[in-house]
Amino acid sequence: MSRWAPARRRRLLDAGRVLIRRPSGAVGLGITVALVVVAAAAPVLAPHSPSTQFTDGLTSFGAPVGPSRQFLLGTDALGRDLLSRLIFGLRNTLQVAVAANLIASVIGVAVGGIAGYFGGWLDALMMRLTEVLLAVPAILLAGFLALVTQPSPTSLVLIIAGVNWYYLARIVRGEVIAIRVREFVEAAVVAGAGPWRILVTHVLRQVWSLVFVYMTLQFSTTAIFVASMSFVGIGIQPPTPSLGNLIADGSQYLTSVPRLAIIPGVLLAVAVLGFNLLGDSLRDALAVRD
Amino acid sequence: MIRFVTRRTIGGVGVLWGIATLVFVIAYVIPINPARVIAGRSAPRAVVESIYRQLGLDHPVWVQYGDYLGRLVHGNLGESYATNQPVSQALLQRLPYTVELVLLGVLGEVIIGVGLALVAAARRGSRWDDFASVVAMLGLTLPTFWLGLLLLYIFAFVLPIFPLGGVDQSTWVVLPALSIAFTGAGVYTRMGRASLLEALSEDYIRTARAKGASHRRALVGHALRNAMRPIVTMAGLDLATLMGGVLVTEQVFGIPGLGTLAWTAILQNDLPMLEGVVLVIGVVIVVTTILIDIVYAWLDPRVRVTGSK
Amino acid sequence: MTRALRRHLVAVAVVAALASLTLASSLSPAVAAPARSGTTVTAVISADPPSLDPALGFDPISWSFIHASFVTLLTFNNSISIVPWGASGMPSVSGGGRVYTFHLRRGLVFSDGEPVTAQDYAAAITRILNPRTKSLLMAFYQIIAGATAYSDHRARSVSGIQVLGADTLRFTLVRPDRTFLDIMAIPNASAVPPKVIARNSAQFGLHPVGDGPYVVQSYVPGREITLVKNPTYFEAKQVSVQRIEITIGLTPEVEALRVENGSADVMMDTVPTPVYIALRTDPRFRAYLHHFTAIADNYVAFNLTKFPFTSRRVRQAAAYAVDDQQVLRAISRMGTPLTQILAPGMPGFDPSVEPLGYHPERARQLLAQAGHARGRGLPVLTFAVATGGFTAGSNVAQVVQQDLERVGFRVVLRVMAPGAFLSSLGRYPLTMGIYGIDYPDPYDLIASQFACSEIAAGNNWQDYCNHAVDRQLNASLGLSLAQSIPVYRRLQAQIFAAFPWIPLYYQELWYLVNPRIKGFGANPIWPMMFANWRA
Repeated sequence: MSRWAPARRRRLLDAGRVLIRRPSGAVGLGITVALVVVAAAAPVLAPHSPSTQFTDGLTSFGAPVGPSRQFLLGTDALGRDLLSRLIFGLRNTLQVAVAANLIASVIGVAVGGIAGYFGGWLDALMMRLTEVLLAVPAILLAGFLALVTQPSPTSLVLIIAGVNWYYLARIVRGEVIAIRVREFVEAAVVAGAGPWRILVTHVLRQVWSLVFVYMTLQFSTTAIFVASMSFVGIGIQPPTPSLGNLIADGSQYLTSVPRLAIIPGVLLAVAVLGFNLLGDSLRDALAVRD
Repeated sequence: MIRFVTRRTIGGVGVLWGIATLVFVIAYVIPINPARVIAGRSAPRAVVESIYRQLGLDHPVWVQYGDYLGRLVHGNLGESYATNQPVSQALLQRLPYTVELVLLGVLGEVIIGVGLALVAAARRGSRWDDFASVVAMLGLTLPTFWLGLLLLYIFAFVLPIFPLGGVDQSTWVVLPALSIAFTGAGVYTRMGRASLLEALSEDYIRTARAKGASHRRALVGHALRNAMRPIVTMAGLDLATLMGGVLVTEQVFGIPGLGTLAWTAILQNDLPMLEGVVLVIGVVIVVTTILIDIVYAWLDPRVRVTGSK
Repeated sequence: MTRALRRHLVAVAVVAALASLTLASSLSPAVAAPARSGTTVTAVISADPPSLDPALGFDPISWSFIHASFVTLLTFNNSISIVPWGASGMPSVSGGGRVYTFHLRRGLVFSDGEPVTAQDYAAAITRILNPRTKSLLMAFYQIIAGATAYSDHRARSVSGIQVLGADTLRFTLVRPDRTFLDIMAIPNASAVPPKVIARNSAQFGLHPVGDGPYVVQSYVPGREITLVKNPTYFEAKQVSVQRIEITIGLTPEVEALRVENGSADVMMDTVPTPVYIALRTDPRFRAYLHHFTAIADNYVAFNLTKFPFTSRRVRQAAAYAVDDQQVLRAISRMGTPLTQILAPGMPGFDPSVEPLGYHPERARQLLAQAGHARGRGLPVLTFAVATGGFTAGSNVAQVVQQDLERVGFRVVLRVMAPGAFLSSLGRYPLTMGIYGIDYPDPYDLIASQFACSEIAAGNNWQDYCNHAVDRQLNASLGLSLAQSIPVYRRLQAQIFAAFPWIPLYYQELWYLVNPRIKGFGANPIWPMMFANWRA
């Protein structure tokens, strides 16, 4: 932090202050922080282990039991405490979604930026590659890859990042192409600045807010993609809970024990809401600074 | 313009070759013996080996690849390992359902999304802006299959307005398309609102308003056209992703489309069928992408020159 | 009220409204629509039957369709005894139990007008033995003399099949085998029309032409199948339902909703657990539920050649560690504990055998005695489970996993698609197993799962091989059923005493059928006997 120029530090602090002053920013930050804390403190917060199947967690006919002092939100189809599974499910989903999103965005910006700025054969090659990848539907490609690999959280993160990076790459490339011909860029070229410097300091800064908006939007898409993968059986493997497979398990009980599907869905919705609000406000705050 | 189109088309063919190769490579790498799957679990080793030879799987990889490409060029997509049905026949049977669902779904997304974006941008900062954002956010936070299940239960079972899944009635497409439209519109609302606001502050808009054009006309006429650029890109990519991405929605509603065909093929290791589905989707996507690029170039003439360097 | 707060409240209010609407409506689902009249029956099924071709379809669903559209010489009646059907009587047996002579009844004709002859039956069996057909049943009919030579391309025809006239057919076997009658009674032994086959054999399953009670009027894979009553079927008078329309591709939960609101009559998949729990106590749907016990074993197979399950003590410990009552709860008690290799309904099943029970303390002691106290020295064990209707679901696997971990094992689940699962057989120390009978003879249940030859073929997932047992199994084929039962009881006790499995349960199959359909059969070999239905 001390290496940064004082002017830059002041600008960041100003942006932060603007963010907190706006109510949606504060709420978004609050939700996100709260959820991250819950996820991080899961082993401490959860009243039971998420995988323990309790013999008194099922009725004699094998139906889940409702909320009680022991099980605050009731149990699931195998007699496990729903609240504990929710907390750990949130943790696992956040881990996968954030990691995959981050990796995908970094790759996407890098590839899209280089392709858009330098053009020529680099652009053509990257365009063709992303076109080929885009032409295979993400969930099918993920299904195919899941067949080939050993299921583990790492492979899941890599698969999701691998089927997601090219969307942002193309959007960034499109914007970079439009920006490249703008006057200030041409002025910088004339002034003698090297291409990498121009790319990073001038061009990418213009797309920064777009990327940020996209990243926060993508969190929800990624989280839901993980949920869809769990729904068809290739996401986080049982008995490890994730918000996605909790919804998938609960969806069979939608008409008889609705809370099993609805509560995880609401939690997922709140998490996504929080990230979206935060991203929205951050974008407005940053735009104000520029 | 013609050179642009020609170049894109040639590129498209290259992409199709790339898809075919990608699919072949993955299928080759999968550690599953299709002959074993066809023969079933009771078959003695001799039967499995005989089927293996019949399928040509004992040939070296480059021979298999050559045969594969040769077959494709003649439009022969082979036969399903599971049912022996010609793959192209199965695809033709299933394609109309997926296409109808995806088209209506994306249409719904764009209409709802851009509509909300217009409302939000026109009355920036007001109650309407809030409303638009809430609706957009709500859609994004729900998994499509979850909303689909809910819609199915409420509007097909509790209130028997729409059919309970399947495609036997003509209104089958309404509920699944709605679930897609509602959960996808949010993206268009956000991007549309952001682009519109940005475009509204551009110099030439201020000039147009200064010249006396009304606020609304300025909005629709100039800002919309420029703001459509990322929307069009998004819609194109959306159509592309959805062709295969609707598979979960198709499963929930029991729609016999390409998605469920592909998924069954994955589960059964029915490689010719899977290759066929991916290739057909690939063709649709490549054609769509080329069309999008043309529209893109029409909207922003600068790209025609610079984009083709 | 600030803008953001307002936004939040509206969002929360909408979600809450949706949620409460669902909660409220789940308390009072729609009333069943009035029963449909007429003799058209609507059915729903979640996936295509694997094949409608008698040479290829080898699962209960395919068999239901094949049995409805083709006639075999023999068949199983509702008490699972073998009775003549296409044959005019039971075959005469000669040649020391190796020669079977069948006579066809009169009046058999294919739906395209061609009469059925003995040659057609001979050709159908030969077609199964032809490697080009890629039939899974090739192994079954190797008992016929000359079959192996034909399948290996060493002979032009099968010497053991002789056509002695238009309505007489003779089979000569390699050795006496009483189960030959069984494999002539399964739907795969149906005659097929030679001219139609000659035109297109590979796709016969998409446009089948048969001589049975129903004709497949249309079949659109993934979408629908329509069966109509065959007027030229020789017992057409006994067929009541004129038309059966089947919609393919809905999930079992949606199928149940359709039957509940009357837009479908029959659900061809078994009732999923949550639906069963909800409808069990609902008086409106009591008459809709039918059930019978499947003749099948559900178990966890140890791979006897992989450490640590090479040790009988460790296997015994694992078997004692699993709480069979918790397993049953996981399947909503739609089953009974598995006690032996034979299953209820199978001749020779011994109802006096007690289940193994739940003894976690003994399990820990046994592990300690084997040198693995509290799991010391045990590697992480991969437990392979298949998704889909192929084996028991991952719910049961999770119960087993937890119980094993409680006594010291470390188990990781690997849930796989059926194709991947099949290709990986024999690789993992623990496998979730289910075996449903091919025909109702005890030989099938025991030999298919424990004979040495089945290791290569993939049904013996335990890699169990005992040559003395094999010899006795082979010898038992020459005995009559009654004579062989004591042999099988002895053999199964011997095999079971070696703890090849963690015994789980015998599954109960539950179906949801509109009460206006009478005669929904309880023939455990194929769940849907279309020809028995009356609407």
